[in-house]
Amino acid sequence: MNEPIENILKQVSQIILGKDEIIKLALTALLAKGHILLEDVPGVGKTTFALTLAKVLGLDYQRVQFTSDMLPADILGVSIFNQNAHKFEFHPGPIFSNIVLADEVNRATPKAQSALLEAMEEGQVTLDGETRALPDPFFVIATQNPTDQIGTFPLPESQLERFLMCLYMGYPDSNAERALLKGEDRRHLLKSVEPAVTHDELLQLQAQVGQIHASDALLDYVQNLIHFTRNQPEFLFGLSPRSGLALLRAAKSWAFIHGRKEVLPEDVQSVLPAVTRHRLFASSAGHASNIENLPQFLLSEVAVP
Amino acid sequence: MNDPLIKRKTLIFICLSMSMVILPHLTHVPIWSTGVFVGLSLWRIYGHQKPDLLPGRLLLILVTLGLVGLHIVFFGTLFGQDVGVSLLIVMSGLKIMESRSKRDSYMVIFLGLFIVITNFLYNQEIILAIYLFAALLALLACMIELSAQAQSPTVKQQLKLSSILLLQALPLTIVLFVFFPRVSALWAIPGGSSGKTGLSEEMSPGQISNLMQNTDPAFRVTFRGEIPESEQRYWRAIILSHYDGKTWRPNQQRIQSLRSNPRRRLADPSYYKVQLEPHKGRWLVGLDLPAINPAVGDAHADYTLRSRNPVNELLQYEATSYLTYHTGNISRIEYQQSLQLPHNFSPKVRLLAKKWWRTSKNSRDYVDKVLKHFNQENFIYTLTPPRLTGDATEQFLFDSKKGFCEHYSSAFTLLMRAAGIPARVVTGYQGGDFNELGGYLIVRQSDAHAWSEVWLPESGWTRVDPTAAVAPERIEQAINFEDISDTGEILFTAGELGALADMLKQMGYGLDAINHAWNDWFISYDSELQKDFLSRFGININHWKDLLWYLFAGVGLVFAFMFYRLLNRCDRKVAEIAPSLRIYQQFCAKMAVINLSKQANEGPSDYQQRIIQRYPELDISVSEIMKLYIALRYKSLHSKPVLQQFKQRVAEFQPKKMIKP
Amino acid sequence: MAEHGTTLSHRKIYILPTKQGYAFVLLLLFMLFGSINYNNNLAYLLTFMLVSLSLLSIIYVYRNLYALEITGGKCAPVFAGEQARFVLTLYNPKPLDRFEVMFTPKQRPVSNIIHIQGFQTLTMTLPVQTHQRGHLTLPALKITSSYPLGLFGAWTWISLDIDCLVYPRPSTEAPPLPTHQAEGKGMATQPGCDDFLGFRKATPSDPPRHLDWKSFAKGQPLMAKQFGQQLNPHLWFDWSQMDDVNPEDKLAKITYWVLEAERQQVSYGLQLPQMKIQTGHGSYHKHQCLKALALFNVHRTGDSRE
Repeated sequence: MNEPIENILKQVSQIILGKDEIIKLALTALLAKGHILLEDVPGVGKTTFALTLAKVLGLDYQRVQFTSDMLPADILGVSIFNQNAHKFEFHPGPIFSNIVLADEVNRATPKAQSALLEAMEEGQVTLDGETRALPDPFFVIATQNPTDQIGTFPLPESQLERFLMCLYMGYPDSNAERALLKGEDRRHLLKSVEPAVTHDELLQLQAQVGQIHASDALLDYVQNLIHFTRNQPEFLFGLSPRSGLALLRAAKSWAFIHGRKEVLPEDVQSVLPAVTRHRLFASSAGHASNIENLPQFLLSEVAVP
Repeated sequence: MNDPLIKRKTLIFICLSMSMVILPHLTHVPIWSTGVFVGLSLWRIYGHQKPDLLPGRLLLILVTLGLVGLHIVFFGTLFGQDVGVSLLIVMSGLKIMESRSKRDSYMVIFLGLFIVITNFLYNQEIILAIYLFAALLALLACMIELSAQAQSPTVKQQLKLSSILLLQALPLTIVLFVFFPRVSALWAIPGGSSGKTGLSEEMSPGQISNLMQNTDPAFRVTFRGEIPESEQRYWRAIILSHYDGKTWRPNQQRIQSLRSNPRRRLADPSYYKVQLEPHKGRWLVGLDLPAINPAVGDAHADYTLRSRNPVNELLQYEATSYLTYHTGNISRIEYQQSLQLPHNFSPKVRLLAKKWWRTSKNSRDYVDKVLKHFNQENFIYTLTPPRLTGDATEQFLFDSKKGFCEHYSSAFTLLMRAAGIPARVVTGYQGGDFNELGGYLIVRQSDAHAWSEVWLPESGWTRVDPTAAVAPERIEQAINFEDISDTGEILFTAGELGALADMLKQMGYGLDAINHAWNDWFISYDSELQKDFLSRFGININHWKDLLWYLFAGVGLVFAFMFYRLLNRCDRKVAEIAPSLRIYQQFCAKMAVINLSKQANEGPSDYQQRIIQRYPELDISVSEIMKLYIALRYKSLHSKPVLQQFKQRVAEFQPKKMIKP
Repeated sequence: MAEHGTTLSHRKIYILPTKQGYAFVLLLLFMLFGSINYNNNLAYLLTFMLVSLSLLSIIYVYRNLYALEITGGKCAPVFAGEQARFVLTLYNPKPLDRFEVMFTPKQRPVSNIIHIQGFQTLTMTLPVQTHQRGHLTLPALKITSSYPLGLFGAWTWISLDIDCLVYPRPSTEAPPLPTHQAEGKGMATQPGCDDFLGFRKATPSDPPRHLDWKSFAKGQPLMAKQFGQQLNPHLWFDWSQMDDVNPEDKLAKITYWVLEAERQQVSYGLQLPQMKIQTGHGSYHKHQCLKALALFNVHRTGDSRE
């Protein structure tokens, strides 16, 4: 495994206990220049997770709590008229940072949501006719609480696609829980964390992901997977071409993290649940045949060519 | 069924293919007939975008009736080869005009296929055959175009596919061609005016010289033994013994009786095979003097061979001739016929004959005297003699003294008859070029010749060629028509041709050799040759019904073979797709033996882990195999040595022996 | 027997001459007659070549269909009156291209012609007109091909087990949403950001992002923008509360409401006899509601096949 990557993973896993898989997937998404949707109940350490990532990667970090009275300007920023200087001054919103933790996105109105999602997609913000580039790397971790429904605005399917992955944080296992209870406050520990990579190194790592080789045999496998979702009645909609690209990009990044220069079917299999969880919906036929986990169903049915 | 309208591209394609098919008919049908076709086609193509300009149904019917009427007026009948072809051409034009849908267009193509076949009634040369099969490709491509509805393939693809189809159809075609029973003329419908012009059954001045401009082959001969010298090669075709003052004709009471072989055979006979190009008559050629050959046709008492049916197709026959012969006595009727003179025979000529006869010792001496006269009295051999008025013989002998073989033989024969020596005119061919490439002799229309035959008591019927007395070169070498001067005097070339001309001549021989082989093997394939050919393979045919069994069996076998090949040819390619995958499957099969088969959705590294977890002792070999497999399949490594190595490792891998129980 | 997928080699493929094929046979007879009559070997050759070509075309049309694998995919739900688009997947397990394979659903005028390359997987959409809500099963399919010469046609029938859910046709009368049945507070405004409501004088407590800096820059007094949203109550579409007599009219109306509520991003619930769907919105919720309406009083076994 690549030395800086090993370093990053080691540092993060010291703070976030027992979540190695999630950490790896998050790093995969970050290196693949994708964003993450975290679906979880409060208090499982989402903020700490995001903070730790920012710190280890040497990036700046902002947290935005989404509420129903939020305006796009609250996220993007606003031009304020300076009476003394007699000109507008741009006050950048919280989105202008490397890592943005968008907490409880489903609480905000669709207008505020789309402001965030558009910025995520385009990597830039257009305000008052002026286009401002977002910092690079730019990485959004949005969280959404799956339990409460009342007064929320669930993200529409088309917007969900803009997240590369959807992860469940989940409760820590008993060992990790015990370590948590015994140990120091995680936030305090954070102070001791040193950046594992420089800004340039991180950009370089992202660039290297693009050079990972995907052979025809592997592309066949990816295509078979996509075709399966399009043709099987268990799925309400098939995976879009954008989803296929996302899957391949994530697989490449995963292969890179594991120190390989080529993508194996296993890489696709490892990232597929996280990449497709928020993109696949069961149709009525799916309910009839009682398929609980569509990504797992997909993986088990499609053969590796 | 909805039948979509045809596209403009398709329409143009069809019109062009049809024009290709019709082109060789240009000389067989009146010009307006092809004109109608071209006009209608262009109108239809132009009208594709402006349907208002296309004629209505009523107008089309009227035009059709009008055209049929025109044919009746022009040809005087609606039955016959030329009128049929002309009608077909006009009808295909009308059908193009009428065609809106695909089904109509199919009918146009079918008409085109029928026009192809009518071409073969006029000419069966290999060049034309090749051309028409190219046209067939175009018609097939049109059919492909019509049956393709969704994606119309490009013209190039269509032509490629139709060529492939044609090639694939070849084995079946050959079986059908070889085994289909050839029954000779079940219901003989007289052929039309097919066949080329050949020697005519009568002779009047100018008829042969017309032929002499024509360098088309008249017939080809393959000798079994040595080829006789050029001056020996008189190819006898027709005997003309009746002269009416203008024209020589065969005698009305032709002696039908079969005759015996020449009485005294003075040398061994010459055996040869003749391939006679179709002509309009029934005559066959035989080297002076042919023996009886019942297979050929009837042998007549005047030593000519005649076919039982008009020679409308290429005819191949074997014959035997005695180059030195003695025919013996003359029959009474023959004697009378050979002394016939027109009632208004020129007294001046008669007087001349009397004068010479009186000074001659015998008949032989008289003949020599006449020949000497031709030789010494400034007679000129020319293709363009002056026009003769009045008594042609008298004028020729006393005034013009210019003429061609027909003048000489006619005048000579009459001089003989006037002196009481039985004589007659023989027409046929003289000479012929030897084609070294084909090993045969080719005799052209330009070799047509006329000579005389006199009956002498000491030698029977004796050939005398008065032309040879005037221009002996004529007999020894061919006339070079390029060199005929404006005055019509003929220069004989002695073979000092340039290198280029020589090469052209060789090429001409090559082409003719191909035509000869084509005729020999293909065009003349008939029931006899079929029997002969099949017996070489041990298939003996007693009745044409026997052939049907072979035909059906052959077609069935070839069809089954093609079916199998076309359906399974594909499967051979599958194996070539990913050799690495095939070897990997062998590996998996070996693992399955020890109850550790690969899951369908399992990647190589997961599988490897599972194997090693279960059988740690396999670690080294499995890891190596997987490393090679991943390199080949997922690193896209295209390396023969690595593939070889992979193949070898898998071959060596024996999990059953390696695992600990 | 309907199944989800099939391979054409396992079924009977029938072959007969097409209409022009019969005409061609007639032509061949004429040609053979002529060849025999004139004893013309080139004519024989041409005739036999054409005979062989037509025999060969039998193999070709058979091969166009042979071993083709057809798998029924699915069909996205449609509203009655729309065209159901059945998705089929074709796989060509051979390296040779297949041209002009035509798919025609039984008793439908439309057909779909495809060209599938060697080893290619192709997804094909067959449109079938719908008339009635409920389940629509894909009619039996006739698969034909007469390529390349069009002289012989091969065909086979398959029936695939694919269903299309047909939603009721939405009412065209655009009935107003049943707002009077709203539960809760009724129409009210609530602070939010969706709708701009107007200006009021700025107070120091206003967040700077809500101030109208543009007019302030022009020298006007500082104003604050007021935002809010119309707080829509949850809507209930209740079968028993509707006055239409015809149940189909009711279904059409509710279908229209569901679509309208979805467009306005309002939560809604469904109350049908023997069925209740809790309020919610989003495409999945919409699908659940429309499905309930589509299958209302339709028994799966007594299929509404039309």
